[in-house]
Amino acid sequence: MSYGKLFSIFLAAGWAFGGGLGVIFEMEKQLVHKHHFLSKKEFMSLFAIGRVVPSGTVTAIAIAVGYKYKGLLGTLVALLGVMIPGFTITLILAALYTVFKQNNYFEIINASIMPAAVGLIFLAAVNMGKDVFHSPLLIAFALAAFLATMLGMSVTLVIGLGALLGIVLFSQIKEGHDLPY
Amino acid sequence: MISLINLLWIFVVDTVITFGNGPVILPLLNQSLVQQLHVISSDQLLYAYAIGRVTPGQVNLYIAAVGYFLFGPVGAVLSSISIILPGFLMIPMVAWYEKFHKVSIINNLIKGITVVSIGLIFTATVAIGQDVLKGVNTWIVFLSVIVFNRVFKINGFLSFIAGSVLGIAIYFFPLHH
Repeated sequence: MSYGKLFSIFLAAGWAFGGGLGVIFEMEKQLVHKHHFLSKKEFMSLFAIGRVVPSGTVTAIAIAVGYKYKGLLGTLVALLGVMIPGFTITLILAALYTVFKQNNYFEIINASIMPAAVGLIFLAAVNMGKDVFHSPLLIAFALAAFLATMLGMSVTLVIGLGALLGIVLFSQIKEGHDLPY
Repeated sequence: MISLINLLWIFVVDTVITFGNGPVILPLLNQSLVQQLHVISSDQLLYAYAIGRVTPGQVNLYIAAVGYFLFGPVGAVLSSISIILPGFLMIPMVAWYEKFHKVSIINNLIKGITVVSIGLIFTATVAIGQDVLKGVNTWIVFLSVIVFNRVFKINGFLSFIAGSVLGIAIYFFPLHH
């Protein structure tokens, strides 16, 4: 694989919409089905490992694939490819915030994308809970986390307790069964 | 006030303890940057999150927007770098996985974090929502996004767009005078 190929594959993935899963779906399409650089099984194990790397799965897969083919420089090329589209547009829209804020357009922003974004945040919690909501015990822990932070407990502390809870509670989990899209 | 180094350190730590999960970082940033340090408004944090969702690529790039609000383009670039740095652990972990085929302890730990994160994100929804959800119209937009996604099974991105368009429509053609 050449640097150009590596860059263009990850650039295509970086243009995918739908957040991390959208990008990973495109990565699989490019790397596994279109260019046959990885087998489906190899990609799935990268996905399984990427999920437990503390950076997000997209970043982890880009680093692993870049490193596999072109070493450390390859990781930078893959990361640049996957981040440039999102970064550029984010930067432009962030700069527009100041422009919007200075005139009446912000009223429209406040009436549209802001409440819609609150909806998305709410949905992020609901969709994360798909597995959790089957178990009354887990619902109780989620509820406890909600109440504790509403009452002013530190978010960082609750995340630490959650990690501990996970280690104690889930002694066994099946790995890498299927990709969640 | 916050120094650039301090901000980047917050981003690295928050990324590591949430395993880079964009929505889960939100309650942390709301706690540190909005409520404790008062360096950005909840408006700005929400706007950053919103653009993170409409732009292509991974959601946690919205952190670049937060970096931009505080330190301009340089802040945006360095913020992006700070959230990818922990990802280089992937290289030793791939080697580890090839040897042992096991990541289960960390998997369990993440599952535990996911459980409490649901509660944490609801708290963030309340904290950020109370500044934005003022009046019937904004509540309609908020609820419409949830209905589009949960009832009509439209994906999150399109539900967000549809809700926003509805909000713009209501703004220009109010339901009541």
